[in-house]
Amino acid sequence: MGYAQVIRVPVPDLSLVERCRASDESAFNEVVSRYKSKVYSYIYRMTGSSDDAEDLTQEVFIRMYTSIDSFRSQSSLSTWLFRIASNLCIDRFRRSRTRTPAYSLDEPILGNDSESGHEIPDSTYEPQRLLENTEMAEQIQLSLAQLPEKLRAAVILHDVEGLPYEEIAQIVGCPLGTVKSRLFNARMQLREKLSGYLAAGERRVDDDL
Amino acid sequence: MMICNQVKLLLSEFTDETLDVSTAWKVQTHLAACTACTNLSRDLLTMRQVLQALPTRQPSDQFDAKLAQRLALTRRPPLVLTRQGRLAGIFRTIGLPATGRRLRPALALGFALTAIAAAVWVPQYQGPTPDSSAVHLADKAFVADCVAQHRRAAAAEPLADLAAQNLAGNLDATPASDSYAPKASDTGLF
Repeated sequence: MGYAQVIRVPVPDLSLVERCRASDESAFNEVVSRYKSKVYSYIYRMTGSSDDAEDLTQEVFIRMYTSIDSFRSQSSLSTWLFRIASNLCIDRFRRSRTRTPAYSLDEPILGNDSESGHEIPDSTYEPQRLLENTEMAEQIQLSLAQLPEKLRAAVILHDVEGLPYEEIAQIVGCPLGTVKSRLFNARMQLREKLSGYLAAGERRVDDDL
Repeated sequence: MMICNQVKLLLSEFTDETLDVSTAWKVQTHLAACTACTNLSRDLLTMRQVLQALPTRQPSDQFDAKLAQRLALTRRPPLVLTRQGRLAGIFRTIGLPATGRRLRPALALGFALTAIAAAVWVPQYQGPTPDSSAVHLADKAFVADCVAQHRRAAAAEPLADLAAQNLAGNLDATPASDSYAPKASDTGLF
């Protein structure tokens, strides 16, 4: 006597979109449940504020609800949602320049300046262990917030969200070469801002050897 | 061998492993001999790993409830086609990307020029030109008709037209007049 194993196959996004068009509430809830963390995380990294992130994430899904008829499936649903999120972030930045970044610009960051108030995190060079120190995670968030918006979007979408160049180009609406260039510039600027941490990591690796 | 400035520009893509094999090999060769670029490459790789390891942030527990509240106040707008929407619909119907905002004006201009050209050209149009082979056949028939008429006229009075003597096939060796008629030997017929 065998046991029948029930395997749940996730409903394809396009099928959910069709059902959303037909005002199927459960399909809409499924989309929200599927993408809310990704969208929220992206907006949080962009704005540096959990309040803004929550508000704008809800706005993304409201926009999706109201304009689902205009989605023509030329890109994936996630690309479309990220694009809405990206545009909303830009709008928010334009409207309230003073609120971006959410961190205080007066706060010194750790860089070449050894007199800044931050301590080198006590961890090994491994990225995961570096991040166990919340100060390091906050420092990264602060450095991200200090990047120009376009560079920030590129590096968050690629390095944090793990999206390929082509999808980023669709989301931010620019050519592939521009995405690569923005990514390069963002990384160079981040390297400067995080040079203290990176040097500390290298020293630790050398000590271990 | 690449120089540092060339390699520096490629290191971001090298870290992402998106370079083609040949370029990646050149970068790798340079890195084996250059400490500065090796350090930069290591920093970029570390930064990427650190960013990838950032925890995914979660919205609050009240997120769904708040969203439901806001959605209750939001109505999906009825599908009203504006002029722009209708134009987009036409573009979609003919298989063109309706989202191509840069393409649309160019295509609209193209259609407009075509319409103007057609408006100018159509009134001047005179209908199809006759087939050239048909013209040729009509000309031949006309010439044959003229020759037949001439032959009939000449047959009635063969001496009035020396040229018709050949056509009538009724030549007289004696010319009608010395002053007009060439000698038979001059005609080259004998």
